[in-house]
Amino acid sequence: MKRLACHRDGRRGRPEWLPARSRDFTQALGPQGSGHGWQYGQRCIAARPSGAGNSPSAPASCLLARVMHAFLRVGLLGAALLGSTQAHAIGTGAGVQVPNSVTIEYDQSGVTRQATASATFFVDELLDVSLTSSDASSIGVLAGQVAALQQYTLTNLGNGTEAFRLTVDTALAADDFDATFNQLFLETNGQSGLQTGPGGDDIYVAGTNDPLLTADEQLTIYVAADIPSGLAIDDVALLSVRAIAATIIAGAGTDDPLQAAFPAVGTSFAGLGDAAGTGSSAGTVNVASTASSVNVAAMVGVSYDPATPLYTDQHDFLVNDVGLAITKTAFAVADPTGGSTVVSGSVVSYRVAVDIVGGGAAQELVITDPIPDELQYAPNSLSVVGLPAGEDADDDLVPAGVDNTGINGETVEVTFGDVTGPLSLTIEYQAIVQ
Amino acid sequence: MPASKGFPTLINAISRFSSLLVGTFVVTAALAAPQAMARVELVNEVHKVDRYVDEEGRVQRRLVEPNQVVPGDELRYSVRFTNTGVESVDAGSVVITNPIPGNTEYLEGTAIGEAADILYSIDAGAQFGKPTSLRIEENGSEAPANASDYTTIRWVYAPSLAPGATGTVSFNVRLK
Repeated sequence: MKRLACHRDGRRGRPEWLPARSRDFTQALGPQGSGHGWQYGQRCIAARPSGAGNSPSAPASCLLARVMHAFLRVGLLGAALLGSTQAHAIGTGAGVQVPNSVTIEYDQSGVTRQATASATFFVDELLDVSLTSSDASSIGVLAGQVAALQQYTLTNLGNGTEAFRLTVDTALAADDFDATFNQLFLETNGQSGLQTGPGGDDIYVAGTNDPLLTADEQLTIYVAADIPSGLAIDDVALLSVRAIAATIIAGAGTDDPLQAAFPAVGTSFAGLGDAAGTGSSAGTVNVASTASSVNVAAMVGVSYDPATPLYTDQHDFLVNDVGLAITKTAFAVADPTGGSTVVSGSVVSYRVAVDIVGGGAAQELVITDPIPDELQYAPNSLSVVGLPAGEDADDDLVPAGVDNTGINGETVEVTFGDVTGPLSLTIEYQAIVQ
Repeated sequence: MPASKGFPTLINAISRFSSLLVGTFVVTAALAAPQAMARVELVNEVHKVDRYVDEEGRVQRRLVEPNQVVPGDELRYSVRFTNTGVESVDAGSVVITNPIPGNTEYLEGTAIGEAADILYSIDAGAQFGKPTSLRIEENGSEAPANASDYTTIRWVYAPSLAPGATGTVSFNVRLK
């Protein structure tokens, strides 16, 4: 697993690592086609520092973060980890039949007799969902930027299989400007991060490919929005996404929680839930004899409570005058026999290209790149183009001293300090396959 | 002794019902059974324990049909047994055994049965005991069993059951 985090301190503060909730872009790497080297991309996250120092609450500018690309091949060195946490256990599945049979035994004049009686019910479908922003800090953007991305995680918190209608709202109040919705993507190609084009992630079309999720299932979605030009630094635009269960739309005729017709928590739609007898539980199922309809009821769950809505979340774009784009490439592989296959002992050469875009200044830029367990840093292989005075691209790292570039355990750390765009920086190093 | 003292309305209804059954029974008895006997009929019902807020803002509970049951809901199983025969059932011989339904867990202290001794099993009915006597082995050491460990409930009804007499036992579970 590779992680790469970029970081920039605010003008007023001191360097500060990303908060623990930062979602590093995490992915496996593997061979990119036959005969080629290795390649994969990574995402940089712009930190919005808390502003330690004399203005703890003042918002600080942060770097623009962009996904340049995210190649991911299921490869030798690890499986893709999408980085999502496991959802809650939901409970008994919708449609499950719960039978019960009671027995009575009794004697009359010493003779034992017996009788039985049954009672049964079907588990109804609970319509619950969670939609949460996966971005810990503000998404830094440049004025005029096309397809700035936000990432969200959709989780079916209900107990049935449900499709969800997704709606993006860019016209929220209490912000400085409105971004323009561009496209919504579903993470469908099994490679973490957004990939567009052939073989990429699906473009979402409401009502056409509403994502169908089983109980507990999660899906990553990406919202691309365009940023208008003519904005001031630190302007903010809020964007929200909501996910409404298709059954609610079918039952109430609206997917808008602001409409009066939108159902309250606890509202039940008879016969609109999952099919009776289809739940994920063992047991005798006899639909015909007990169910008046072939589908159980569906009930609106607490995630649609307007007071504590889990069905929607929002996140912000923050306008900067500087941005950061990172691409990482494994540009050469040398195996022990002189070839270029990836085997134990092969040396993989990596290049991390850091592009400062826009004309603004970024302070305290630090790039960290943890080396995965399957690889080991090759001593004295680090080289950096663009290091400031006082930093040496040797393996030594003196966290408290002037040289904050080097190898920290199995993490490459490079301190570029204050930089002004446009500027291209390059980090190269080698790692040995274990 | 007629058991109708505590439940006049219910028993009146059952008595009328019983006499109909008895009439039917005599006809068939002439064909199949040589002697009159006791006959206990069971009714097993499940309801959802619905919580609602009344006009004065208090949370109340009521039993409703189990048409909207989702995980976390509480359910009550009620078993009514009635001697619809013409002879009494022997005292102490009525034993009602009800497994905790799959996908549910028993809610502690909810088993009710008038004039009945209530026992529980944690091994699918192989053995029954009082809650304090049920122990579970975990990692080589014993610990008292929890209500959620119960697999089966048994009611041992002490009195005899006269013709027309009825009794009810119940317990509550939560749908997992």
